Amino acid sequence: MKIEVLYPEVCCLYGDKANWLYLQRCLPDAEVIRTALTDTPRFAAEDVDLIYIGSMSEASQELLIDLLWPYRDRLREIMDAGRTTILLTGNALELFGTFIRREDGTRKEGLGLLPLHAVRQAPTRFNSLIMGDADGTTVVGYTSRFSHAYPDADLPGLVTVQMGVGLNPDTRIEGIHSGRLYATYILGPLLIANPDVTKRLLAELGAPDDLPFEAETYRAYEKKLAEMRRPGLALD
Amino acid sequence: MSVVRLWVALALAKATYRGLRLLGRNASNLPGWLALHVCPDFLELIAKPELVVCVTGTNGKTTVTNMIADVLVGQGYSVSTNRLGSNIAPGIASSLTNAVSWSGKPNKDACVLEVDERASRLILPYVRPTYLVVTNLFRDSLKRNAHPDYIFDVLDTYTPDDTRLVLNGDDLCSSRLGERAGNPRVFFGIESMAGDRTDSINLVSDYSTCPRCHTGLAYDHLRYHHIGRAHCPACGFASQDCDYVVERVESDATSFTVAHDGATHTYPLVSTVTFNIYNQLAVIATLTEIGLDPARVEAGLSILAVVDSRLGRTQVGDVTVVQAMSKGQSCVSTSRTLDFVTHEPGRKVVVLAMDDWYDRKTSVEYIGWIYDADFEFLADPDVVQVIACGPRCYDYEVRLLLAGVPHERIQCCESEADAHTRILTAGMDSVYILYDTSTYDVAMSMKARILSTLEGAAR
Repeated sequence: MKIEVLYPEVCCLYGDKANWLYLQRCLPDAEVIRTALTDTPRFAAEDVDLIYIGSMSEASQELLIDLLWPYRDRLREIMDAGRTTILLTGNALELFGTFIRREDGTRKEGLGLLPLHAVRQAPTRFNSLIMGDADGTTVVGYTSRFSHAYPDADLPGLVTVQMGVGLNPDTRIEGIHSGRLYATYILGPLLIANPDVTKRLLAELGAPDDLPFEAETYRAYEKKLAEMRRPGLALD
Repeated sequence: MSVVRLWVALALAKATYRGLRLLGRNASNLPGWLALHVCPDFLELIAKPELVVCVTGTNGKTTVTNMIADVLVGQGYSVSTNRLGSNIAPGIASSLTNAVSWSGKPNKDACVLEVDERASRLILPYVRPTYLVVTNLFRDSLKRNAHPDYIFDVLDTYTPDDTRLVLNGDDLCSSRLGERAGNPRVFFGIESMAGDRTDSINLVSDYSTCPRCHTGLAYDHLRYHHIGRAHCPACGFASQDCDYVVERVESDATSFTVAHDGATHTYPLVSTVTFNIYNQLAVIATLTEIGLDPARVEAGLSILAVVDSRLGRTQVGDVTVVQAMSKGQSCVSTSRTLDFVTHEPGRKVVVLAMDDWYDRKTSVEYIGWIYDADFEFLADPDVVQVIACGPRCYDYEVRLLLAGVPHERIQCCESEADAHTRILTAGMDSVYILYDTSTYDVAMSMKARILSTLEGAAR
């Protein structure tokens, strides 16, 4: 199995690095490819089983769009083929949209792989707990960002938010689940905080779904879930 | 109209200051808040002393601010500072109020101001400091500070072009401030030290690629995270040459030698901890730039000590119990503390009490930051027990297990009040209680219970 982590030098904010390190623990025999900013992505020439991109700064977003621009047709082909899982956390999902509108009104063209655009509003920071349903699994997480995403067409969501914000303040749809692409504004160690999600991901990859320290991981998840169900919780 | 508003704001702020001081209060925030309320452009309009030094950065700004102010006072300067007040606009306004007379004329030689890095956009363009000292930039609370690129842009955008910058040349992030605008800049740094590496042992580095060509940087020496000296193997980009360089720390660790402008001078060493050497070097560079000669700087430093309210030791029998501040939600601060604790001699118990006090009352703390902090240091065999406390204790448990801490060494306590019931009473030389700024009282209460338990066991 091949897991390609794109640009881990810069896509490593907010604890997101833990996601691929955890996958490495779950899949000890997998080859984890860390593609650096100066490397040609492995997916360009061969199939990989999973591509991961984590949270990054706004400047890094623009750099990554430039770096991935030559491969957008290949990424489209990969998404259409449905043999590769693509996992995007934090603001990585914005790269795949049609454009990002900067605070001064100018635009950075996106890869155009998903029908959505993002609008930045720094210095206003949006912080929110998130709890919601993803195909019968309750997902818990947190988002902290300068931007919101706005779908330009119907998009299948990843999570239906029960508490917190969605892709933008006007929707309860959080993230995108299209084929084998999973994109979410939830940041940090998503896979450690949500063991059911990780088990489903491992099953999709055709791997055993045993988790390291599974009992302890579920205990932490259940505790957080109970706390997040308290009424009147401050979200930020 | 502005003049009238300014005068009313100043009079109100000064009267409020007097009144609050009579009541025994610090009066460090409200006078400035009122002044800004009456006169929103108060920071810009109020007259300033000839010398205004602002200090910002992720870590060390309080220490550096206090040391600069103390040395200046010791050398005969009259100084207004926000030592007791906030480092955002109202605290700055209060300090500036104290630097002028009722008629609005400066009556102090200098203002030395600690400035919150995120709030600097509301302060620096109006205060227009003579000098801006930037200690370093690291990732910090994601809620407030987002990421270092953002804080860099804020500082780089809002620092006036004629402000002289005193920068850490060993920090590839903050040392690039003022490059675009052409600010006058000086840099400080440390030559090689014992313990330097060329590879990283930290989970996060906020500066690992070349800003010009994005090639991975090669570190000539690396201290922690991205602090060190590096070059790009592809395009020649390299760390700044430094104007103030620690050439050596003397073997007795009581003094260090700084090279500047072709000469060297030996200064008393206030603290041997590396980040405090950087802090002291920032102070020396700033004071020298202000115009104090090395002998006066040395004299000023010789009477100072880093008041480490973040560290308190109590002995009970053969065991030392230490409370150590470890800023929660800040992976670098926590990693520095974990590194410090694990390098202390002997076998130790580590108690984690860093869950945010306010989040637990009203919310659920975002705990992802612990995956950027180096809990792997606690997998050291000399760490004989780790007690994770607070509502997030089970998250800490998972983190510790993934970091390689053996299961049998980990205890979980949802309430800090119970930690003393889980603690080992033998087999360790020290107990370290790591607490957040918001959990000081909790940590002290916990420490009292632990001391009592250890005293009982020692009898």
